[in-house]
Amino acid sequence: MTKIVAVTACIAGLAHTYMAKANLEKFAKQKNIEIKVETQGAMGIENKLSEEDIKEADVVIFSVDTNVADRDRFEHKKILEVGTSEVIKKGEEVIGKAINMAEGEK
Amino acid sequence: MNIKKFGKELTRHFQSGVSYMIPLVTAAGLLTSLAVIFGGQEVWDTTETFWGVVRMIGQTGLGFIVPMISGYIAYSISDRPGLAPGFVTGIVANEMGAGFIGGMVTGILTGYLVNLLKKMPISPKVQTLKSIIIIPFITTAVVGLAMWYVIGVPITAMTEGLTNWLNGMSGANATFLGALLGAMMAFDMGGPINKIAYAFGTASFASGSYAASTAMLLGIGIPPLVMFIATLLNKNLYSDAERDNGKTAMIMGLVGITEGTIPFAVADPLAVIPSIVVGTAVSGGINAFFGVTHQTMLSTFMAIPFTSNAIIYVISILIGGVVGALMVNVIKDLKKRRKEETTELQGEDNR
Repeated sequence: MTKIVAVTACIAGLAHTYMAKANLEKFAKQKNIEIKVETQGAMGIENKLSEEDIKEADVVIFSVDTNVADRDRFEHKKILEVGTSEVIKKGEEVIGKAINMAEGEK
Repeated sequence: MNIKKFGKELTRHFQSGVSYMIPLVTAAGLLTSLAVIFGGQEVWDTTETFWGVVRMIGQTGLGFIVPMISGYIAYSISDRPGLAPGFVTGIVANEMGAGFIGGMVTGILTGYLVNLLKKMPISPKVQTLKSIIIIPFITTAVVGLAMWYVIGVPITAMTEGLTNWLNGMSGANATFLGALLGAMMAFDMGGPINKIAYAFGTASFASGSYAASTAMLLGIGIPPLVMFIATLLNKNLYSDAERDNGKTAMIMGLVGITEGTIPFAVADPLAVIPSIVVGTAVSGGINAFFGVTHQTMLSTFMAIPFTSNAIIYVISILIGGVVGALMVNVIKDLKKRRKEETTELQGEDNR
């Protein structure tokens, strides 16, 4: 089964960060895909991805308007990078793209 | 690297810097505002009184805006080694009076210079030397000197020019600036363009150009007000959930959060975004035309008691809110009718 991890972060870290997380989780659930989303909002890193989460993930989604903190954790992973508003508006498409990327590896 | 990609990357680094800066601005801005509200104008040059001290704390924080922007832009570009040199060169930019733009420039230069030095081939024996001495020392010295002697000079002149222009502005120019800042604040409701206007307004506040900061802060609460009024004016155009959301957005708007409007904009961007942009621009324009300002960092509604002319200020808010609300409802109504017409036509076809 495909496994996705994601990081969301917007500028103020109040709204877009969490809306993007909600949308990613919603559409992943629809497609029956396991997803864990780390938020890097105004409160700092929440729901932090563990080393194991990252290792097991087939693909990483960065849904960010800023830089990802501790980006080197994701070295050598397949990364799909989009803005937060893209995920909020077209969440299904983004998840679809991520799945395609993950399956490309098999 | 192509230019478009580079520009996108720079925007992201800039946004990271602003993102770290926001809590600083709220803390320092609110302290300064409170001091002026309770202590009056005499707080500005004293630490003898309690409110004078509060003002001093706040202003010290405001003075850190430029170094903070510089440091965190550098951090965003080059990670940890960029942070310290970014701060130091940012303080230099601040000392020179190069302002916000100066801080952005030192942050960017520092970040990319650090990245360049990171790639420098060096014997593994002195690898630790490189990260702990060579990179911070060289970067700080080079960027600091370049800033002071070369790059900073025109930036300082430009910043001074801009500040004078802002302070001396009146009539049509002021109206235009007020409207533009309002439009930018509303356009993406807390997104990148909003934050550019926010950064500009904050920097203006720190240098005493209250017309720009007032216009920017005024823009924060108008989009939620527009949608709140719109849901009240014509209930048929909105679902129950949306009407509830109108109230929530309004409450968030009262305390200075624009983001409550986002669900409306996501559901119907073509109707909502132009309307809130127009509404907010109208408010900002009218208010700036009459030269109403306040010397606080409080947003739209909370600032009302501290404005130089509260009546005109409130009228500006209401006009913008109503104009935006009417506009969004007219567009929604048109769209709804067109949709009904097309479904009717399809119905006839089926017969």
